[in-house]
Amino acid sequence: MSREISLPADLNPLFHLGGLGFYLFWIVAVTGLYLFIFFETSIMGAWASVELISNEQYYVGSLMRSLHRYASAAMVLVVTAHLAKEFLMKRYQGPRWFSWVSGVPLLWLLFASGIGGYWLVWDERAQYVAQTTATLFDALPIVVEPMAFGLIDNATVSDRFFSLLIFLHVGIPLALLLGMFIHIQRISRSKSLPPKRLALAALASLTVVSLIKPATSMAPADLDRSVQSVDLDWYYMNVYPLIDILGSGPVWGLLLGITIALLLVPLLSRAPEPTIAVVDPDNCNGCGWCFADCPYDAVYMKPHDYKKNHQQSVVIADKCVGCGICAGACPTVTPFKSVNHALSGINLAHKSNATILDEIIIDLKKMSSPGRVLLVGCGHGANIDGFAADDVATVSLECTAQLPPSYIDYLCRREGVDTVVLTGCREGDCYHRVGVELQQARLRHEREPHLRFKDVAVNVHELWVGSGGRGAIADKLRQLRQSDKVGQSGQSDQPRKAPSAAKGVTDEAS
Amino acid sequence: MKLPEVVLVAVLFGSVALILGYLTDSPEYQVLPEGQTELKFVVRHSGKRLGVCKVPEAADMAKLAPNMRQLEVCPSEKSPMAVELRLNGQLRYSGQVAPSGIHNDGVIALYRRFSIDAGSLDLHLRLKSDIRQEAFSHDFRQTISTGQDSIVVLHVDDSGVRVYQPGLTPVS
Ligand code: HEM
Ligand code: SF4
Ligand code: SF4
Repeated sequence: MSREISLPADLNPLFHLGGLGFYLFWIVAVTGLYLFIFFETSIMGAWASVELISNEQYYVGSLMRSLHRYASAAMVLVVTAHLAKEFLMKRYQGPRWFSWVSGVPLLWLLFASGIGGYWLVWDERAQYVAQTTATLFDALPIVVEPMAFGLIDNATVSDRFFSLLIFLHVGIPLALLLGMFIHIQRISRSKSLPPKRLALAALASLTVVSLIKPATSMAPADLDRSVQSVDLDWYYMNVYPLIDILGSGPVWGLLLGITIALLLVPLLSRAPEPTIAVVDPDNCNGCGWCFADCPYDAVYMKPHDYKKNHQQSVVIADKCVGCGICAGACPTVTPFKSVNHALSGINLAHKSNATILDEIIIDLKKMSSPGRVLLVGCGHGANIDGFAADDVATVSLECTAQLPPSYIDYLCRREGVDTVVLTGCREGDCYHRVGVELQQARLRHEREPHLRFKDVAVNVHELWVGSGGRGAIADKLRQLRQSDKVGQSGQSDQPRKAPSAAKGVTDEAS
Repeated sequence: MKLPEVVLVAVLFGSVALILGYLTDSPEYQVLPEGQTELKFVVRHSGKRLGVCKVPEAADMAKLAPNMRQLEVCPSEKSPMAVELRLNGQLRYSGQVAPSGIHNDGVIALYRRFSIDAGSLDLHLRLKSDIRQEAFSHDFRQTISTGQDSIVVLHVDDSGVRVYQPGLTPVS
């Protein structure tokens, strides 16, 4: 393979957009608190107090103000990209509708927070925004006394109105924060902070722009004069020129239309009715591993139906997306057992893991070629159709983490599989959020249930190449065939280059 | 991390940050074309009641509790106000402004902003507080000279029509 320069997964903002949203919020909150200390809540004092922060505090005030502005702008950028990405990945389907729908009001709260902030500076930009916002709201039929009456000229603005604005600029962001927490309620182990290096890189770049181009105010607001031109913040105020051009009615139509369209997105998708996981109490020993691994908080534990002093797991059907990760976590599947060899405590309803194992074994038995590859596909990675051959058995799962590590041990030890190639979503970008991570941890002995045999571990190849990775899979198979790993007999005990999966694998059979 | 990766990260984050910074206040947006200013048209009028007040019949009065007895009973519904505004001969607003409130008994409030050429401005405002009448009951005309970017307020309330340029000497 050629040596390409690529962005490490932990530094790829596109893999951590939601977490970046939270992180930027915290930057805005901390810097906002700083600004609030020095801000003067009055029509006469506001602009001057912001000037003091910017110019009289040896860069500190200016940096705080600039970070506050640029982190806010970055939030719009990041959240828009987050929305687009979740849309493209169809993460709004089935029980995942909750995360999608609860994201939509966050957009309104985010914009209201940002626009309100610009208002407080009470410069010409604030004047323009205040007057145009008033025009927009005055078009609503519920208005008795137009808001604009308070903004006719300098004589009509009041400090009381201004205090209300401050209250809103604290209150709306708090509502946003609450909304953000609700937004991630339905998923477990949510990544509400980006990886450390990404967080540092983001903060560093925001600091650099803050130093090169500190945030500034326009001239103080003067309602006796008309604003001729404004330096708009195009992240937060992109809709304002439209209000000028189209008028308030059409803009309301546009905003409400977009909102309703977004809210309806989960209804429009015609995803196949998701299969869900079911628990078999007979085979559940109450270990709680499925509960620990479910990425959607769809499993909980309760006292066992009939086994004394035991727990058992329960699946919440409304939350289960049918990823199968729980089935891959269940330790009662040990094909090495002589009785009921592959029955497990939890399985996808439409097809149990035991059936999947049987199918693989049937395929393997049909193969005449002794050096055999098991190619494992995932429903959201590359399509593996067509790779099956006399030396390659294939199995396609909903998620790579649906495959219990004990199956890998068993197939390699007892069924003559030489090499296992696991494919799936790109690292850090798993459709089922954490499937790749969980499976990696199991392979590396970092998480239960783990792979047991060291000699098996060295023959597990991970190919986290995503849905566009067919080429990489073909390359891998070709490479394996060239290195005599496939299609030849009696070579399987040659010393082999250990793939990353071997790291940390120490014990033999436990 | 290898050096090429560090460079990649720096270039990527740097360029996103620069675009981010740029769009927070650029490009500039021209609100009003060169040489124009704004006229703010404000109407705040208590409006005209549609019905006439009546002295209640003595028999009806007797049925009411003593504290509810009134000398006159006035229907509270008000007429919309017809408004027509011409600036330099051009019709800029024409319509009926309904009273606020679900019973149409609140104030008549209207707010509009118009961009105007700075310089000489000929204002012509006609009002009809009772929609049932044929002719306009108010006809206001005035020519003023505006400052470069000072706004003009055309203000209508119960006491009449006023035009002024706040911050400059009031013109009327
Ligand atoms: C302030 C704005 C927002 C913040 C801070 C935010 C944050 C997050 C976070 C931290 C996650 C969890 C990521 C993970 O652990 O995998 C997430 C997931 C998600 N968000 Fe947002 N989000 C915001 C707005 C939105 C919006 C506007 C939408 C779409 C309308 C949206 C849709 C989703 C979806 C569909 C998921 C995936 C849930 C799943 O994987 O099942 N979010 N968000
Ligand atoms: S299949 Fe299992 S892990 Fe996946 S959502 Fe359902 S209960 Fe959770
Ligand atoms: S992982 Fe299996 S045994 Fe453990 S609680 Fe879940 S169903 Fe029961």
